Amino acid sequence: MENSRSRRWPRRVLGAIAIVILIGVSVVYGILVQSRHLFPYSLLKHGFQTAAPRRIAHHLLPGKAVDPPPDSVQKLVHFPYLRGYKSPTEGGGPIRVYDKALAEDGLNFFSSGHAPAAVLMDMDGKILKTWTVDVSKAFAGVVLEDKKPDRDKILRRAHLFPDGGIVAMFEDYGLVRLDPRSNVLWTWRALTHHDFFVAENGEMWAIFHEKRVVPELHREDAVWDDSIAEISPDGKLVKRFSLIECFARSRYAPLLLNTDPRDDDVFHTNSVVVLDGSLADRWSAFRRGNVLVSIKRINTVAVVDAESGQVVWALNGQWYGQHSARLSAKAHLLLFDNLGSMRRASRVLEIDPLTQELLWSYGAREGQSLISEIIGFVERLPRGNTLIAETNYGRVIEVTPDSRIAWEFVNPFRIPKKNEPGKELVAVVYFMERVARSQSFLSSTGGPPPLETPASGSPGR
Amino acid sequence: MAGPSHDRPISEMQKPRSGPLRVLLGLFAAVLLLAAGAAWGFLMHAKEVFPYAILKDAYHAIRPGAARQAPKKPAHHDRGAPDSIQRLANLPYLQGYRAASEGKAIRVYDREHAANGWNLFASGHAPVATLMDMDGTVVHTWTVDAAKAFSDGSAERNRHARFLRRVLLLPDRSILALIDELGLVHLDVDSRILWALRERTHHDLFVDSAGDIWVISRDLRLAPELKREEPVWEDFILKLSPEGKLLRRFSVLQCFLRSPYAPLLADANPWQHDILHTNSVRVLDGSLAGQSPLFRRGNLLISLKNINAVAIVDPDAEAVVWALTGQWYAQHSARLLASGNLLLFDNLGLMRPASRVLELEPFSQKIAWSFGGRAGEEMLSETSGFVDRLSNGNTLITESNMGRVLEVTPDRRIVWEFVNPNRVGNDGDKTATIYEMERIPPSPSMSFSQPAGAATRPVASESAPRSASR
Repeated sequence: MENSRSRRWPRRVLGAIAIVILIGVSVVYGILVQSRHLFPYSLLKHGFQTAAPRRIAHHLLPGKAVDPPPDSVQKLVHFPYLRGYKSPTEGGGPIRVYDKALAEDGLNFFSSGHAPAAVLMDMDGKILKTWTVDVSKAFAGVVLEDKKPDRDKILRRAHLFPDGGIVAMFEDYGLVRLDPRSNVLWTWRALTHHDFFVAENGEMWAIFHEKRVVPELHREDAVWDDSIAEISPDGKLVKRFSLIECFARSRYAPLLLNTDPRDDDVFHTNSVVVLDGSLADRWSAFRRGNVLVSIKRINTVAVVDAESGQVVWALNGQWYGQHSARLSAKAHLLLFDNLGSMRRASRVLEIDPLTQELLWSYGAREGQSLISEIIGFVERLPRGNTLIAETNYGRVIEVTPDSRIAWEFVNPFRIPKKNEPGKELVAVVYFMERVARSQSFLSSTGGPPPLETPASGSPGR
Repeated sequence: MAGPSHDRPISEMQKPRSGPLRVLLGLFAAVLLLAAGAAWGFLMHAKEVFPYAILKDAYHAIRPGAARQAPKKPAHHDRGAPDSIQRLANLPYLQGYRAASEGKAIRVYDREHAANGWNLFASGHAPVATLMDMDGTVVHTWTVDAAKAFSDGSAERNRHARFLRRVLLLPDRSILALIDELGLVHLDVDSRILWALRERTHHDLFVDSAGDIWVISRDLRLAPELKREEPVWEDFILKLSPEGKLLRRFSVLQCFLRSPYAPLLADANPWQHDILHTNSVRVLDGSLAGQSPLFRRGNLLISLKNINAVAIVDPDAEAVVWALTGQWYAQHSARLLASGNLLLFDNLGLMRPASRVLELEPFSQKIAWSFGGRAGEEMLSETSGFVDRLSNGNTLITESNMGRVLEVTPDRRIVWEFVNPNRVGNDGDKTATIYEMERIPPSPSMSFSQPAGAATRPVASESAPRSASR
């Protein structure tokens, strides 16, 4: 008896120590569940939230960023860049609506995802002239560092000169000036993107970016710093300025704090317009030479004084992921608002830049179908109609002030569908501009030149 | 552990016969024990249950550096470097921030240029509203007994009950006092509680020309429309009758969502649950309706710190009709001046640790006047802050975290300067925060039968035992 008792005692003590250790471990685990969100933290939290959402203590909330669902505008705004999205519908030519009384006269100049080509087309859909560039010849020896596809296959933006030549932009390659026969006159090499503007004097203002550490952002990693380059008519750099720096040294610097710390493409500037001063009396920020830019990632439209290198005006709030900001003849702000309706519906907004009053809009209403998740282009025509490129789905509409469709175009150009041989997609239309019908270069060559069918695409039926 | 002589017979008695059952019971007990331990650990860390303090002290004794370093909660809302503007904007609310300095309460008083009146303020040291004359003499005080006003015990649990976040003096010499997260109290001139409203009120309140009370409150709610899985703090505007009856309540969040300004919420900081952090509310009186229909009578002007926006809300449509962001950061105290200009306290828009007061034309966005950020205009309140334009054109600026108030002329001369003599912190080593100070114009109807000894009493230096943060 005495023996067995004395033998049991060490066992009991050991057992008690084991229990205490076990409790200690479980207490530590409990602490870690709360502080490090170990299992079953999320289960518990979910249960609590479902049971009584208002009663959760603030400090029980984890600090995780949530991946937004695929139908959210936060996701749609990051749609992939493709040359086509939509399968063509059967039947119908490129011109679906043409109300000659309502539509404004002119020719249509556009670029599409099917080929590195710019196209001039009349109102009936007849192609009058095409310009094409072979990027491997224009930018011989240029090898892009990253692997984004298809940048050699499209002209992201182009401008038609009265002599019948064009300037065109390849994403990340640069600008190329072509004569009327598509001979390369000069190139300007830079990581250009999205847009450039040609001023009355023939100077060009182009968006380009460079990857660098920008001290003004207080980030350690390199980011894409968007800059504006002023380029002479013969393709020489006149000056350049960083848009981040323009913000940082201006009173709008707080908007830099809206940039996403997870995204190295902090600004994603996507349109540039140089003001001609005709609206300066309406408002001093619109003085001649100031630059109007659209900055997608911070949903901001801004005017930069190119001389002082400062943002002198900026506005955001009523749009999301916007493109193509410009001023109308009445000094109203016109832009393509891709997702500001907060659902999968785009709009064109005309807004008083001072009072922020919405003066006109098209889209996101019954009977006003318009959606382009990324990209989009808008232009106000001389008589007041609005030309809208629904870029992603290859459609362009001309809309009257009372929102009637006067002209509708669906891109006849196709691209082959990836991994599905024989199937095609409607090529995107990056931009479309209405230019004057009387182009001297057309008459001087004795009517439209023969149709040049681009190599990698074909006009559909 | 019980003694061996008692232990053995009991354990023998209870010992189940069958082996498997015994093992099962043992396992069950072990699991229960472990679960209880885990729950204890969880609560210890989450709710600071015993022995949290002991363990914390022990931990800090082992690692002295850790005490000042990381706060207990992960700073998930912070997006930048430790000294970044974002971090400064998210400093916790404290009863005091700055080391107390020696000297008089009134540092500058230029009688010729300062606006005459009394100064009403709430300070971090105690749940007291103080009315003080221009020389720093206390004219009257009101003290809120929060435990009495909120007898459900919520006041004892709420550290915000240690001070009043916002006070408003009414013509009958009663005051409305807002306690953060606890509610609103109406006190008569002798600090008797007339009524109290239990709501998660915060930051600001306003009394309109009809006497109705507008106050900001909040609630935690799941908001799937924001495409977030986590609950968010939803700010509300409450309208109360003068008797404290709740007349209506509407969500500021919903006002944004059903307005053209919904995109401002799309990229709201996904780490931040307090997505709007509405911190000022004012009802427009319609005197500027001729300038813009946005300024029509009854519309509300609000400031939303966490989206850096100032907005006008139409309370009938319950929708935002105008909003502006861009030139300021983490701002407070937005108001519309008689000129139609916007006046606000811009805590960090200079993008360095310096605050300023901005007056700007709301439509051209041009800066009409500013104070702060220049040499001789040093000012910093990372959080809080209050500003008011006085009848003589001067500007009364509350640099809250510094516990300092300035009266500044249009040409930016300081004509009156007050440093809060009230102390908080261990041994009263910190100047108490001043949430806001308002200048009450002299009025014959406003007189106070002085409580004994109060007439010539300088501002009391009551010390609160310790600072609180949330």
